[in-house]
Amino acid sequence: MERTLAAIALVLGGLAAISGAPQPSGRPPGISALDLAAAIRDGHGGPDSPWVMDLRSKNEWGERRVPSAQHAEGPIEGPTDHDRTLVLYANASTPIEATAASLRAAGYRRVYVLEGGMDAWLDQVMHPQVSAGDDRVIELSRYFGGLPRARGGSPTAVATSAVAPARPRGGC
Amino acid sequence: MIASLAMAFAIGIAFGWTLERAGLGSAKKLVGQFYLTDLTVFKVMFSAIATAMLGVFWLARLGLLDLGQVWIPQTFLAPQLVGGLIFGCGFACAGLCPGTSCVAAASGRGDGALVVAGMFCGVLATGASFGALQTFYESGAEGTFTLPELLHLPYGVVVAIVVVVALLGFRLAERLERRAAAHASR
Amino acid sequence: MNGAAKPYSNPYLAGVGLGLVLLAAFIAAGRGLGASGAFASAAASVASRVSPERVAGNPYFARYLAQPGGPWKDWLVFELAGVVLGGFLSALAAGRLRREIERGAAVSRKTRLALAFAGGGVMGAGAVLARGCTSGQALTGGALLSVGSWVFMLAAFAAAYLVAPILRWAWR
Repeated sequence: MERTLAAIALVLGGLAAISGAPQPSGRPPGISALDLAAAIRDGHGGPDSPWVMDLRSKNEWGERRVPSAQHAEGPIEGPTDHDRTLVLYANASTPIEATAASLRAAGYRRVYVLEGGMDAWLDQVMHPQVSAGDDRVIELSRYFGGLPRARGGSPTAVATSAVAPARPRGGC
Repeated sequence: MIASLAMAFAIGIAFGWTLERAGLGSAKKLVGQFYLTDLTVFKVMFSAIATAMLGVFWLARLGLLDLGQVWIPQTFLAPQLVGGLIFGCGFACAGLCPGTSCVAAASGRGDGALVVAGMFCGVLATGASFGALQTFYESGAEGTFTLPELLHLPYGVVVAIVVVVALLGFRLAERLERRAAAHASR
Repeated sequence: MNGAAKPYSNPYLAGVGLGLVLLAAFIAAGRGLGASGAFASAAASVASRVSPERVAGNPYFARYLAQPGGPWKDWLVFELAGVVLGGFLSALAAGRLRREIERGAAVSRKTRLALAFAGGGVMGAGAVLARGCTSGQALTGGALLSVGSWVFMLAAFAAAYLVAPILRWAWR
């Protein structure tokens, strides 16, 4: 039996060497805008809701932000509960990995980065293009006061009660 | 929160159960490690490390586990080196480590209970004098720093190396135990 | 307890079992096992009872006191409570439950208890500095290939081997 265990370990270890695999990088995982929206809605602001931090400038934050997001500047103060989910975002192009890493170093174990940043929130939650049957998206978008638009500009293709009239994009 | 704590309790039961099954609730058995008469500690620890390491690697490789979700202990070289040296002295003296002392105490051993009490006082006293230690405690910070990064080798290669080293170590351990047994019977 | 105690498990099988428990913790909780962290929570709680104002200015204890439900509602505290119960149940099932003080034949009970207490105290100091013990650093960080954890593990065993010859009298 000991030989069997050793053989299994050798095979798994040997295959590991040649399998090419992810590094244990500690790089923060991403969260999609829709998943974040669902988490905020389902958390109702309680301890299970994500702690969202906006790393853009104070002006940008003041103008428009992910609901419940706090503006984070200087030494970041996270929640006291280190098991709480933290979500960071900035503009899509701003690198925020370093901030995420420092939060992880401070003991927060669930640190996520919003994929696509604020732009993704606007595109996917506030002004999503939807087709019939995208009930989850429509419902989430409306929960946050968004305006889902029918894909391909034909509002009739979507359950009409669920979709607000299309609005020209741009400018936001 | 409650689900997470219930999970912690369940995992702890399994942890304590396996430690006791392996005989690691016994200080006399445990210190055999330091006199090379009974290398159970090494065998259990390295089988466990190899198993969990292979499990993490393959689950991540197959996309079933997100490595970003597993919290890797941060590296602070100097305090971990010095802390390890101090810890080892206490370990040899107590004959039990913090986790196994709880198992020893739970199976009725008075020495286990005293290690638990000593451990508590040690943490309390050191924590109370943290002001003097803080600079050192925070020195040598490397963040999340892993062996693959240190050795500039792919994750899988390091996994393979650890497995081979563990297996060679097990062979050596068996040989040392046989020699100690022969020595004792002579 | 009457009757002979069952022999211990095969160490390799027990090790694989322990590894699977550790793996389960990684998957279910995103963290590994630990023990000394629970001692720190307990110490922080007691210290804050005795001298709240001094503890408030102590960053080491403050971290444990900042747990949302207080220092006792901590993951590691519940895990270590499980360890005690699991160890008890296993010893009970195997007929190994007995009141005793394990010691070398040449050593008095008092000496053994003094050594146990002193050893525990020294380990406590080391575990604070190293941010963990054999469970939290050596096992958990070892399996995740953390450099600091391997440094801790090698240092701890090196020191134990250096000190052990001086203490041989205690186990004879």
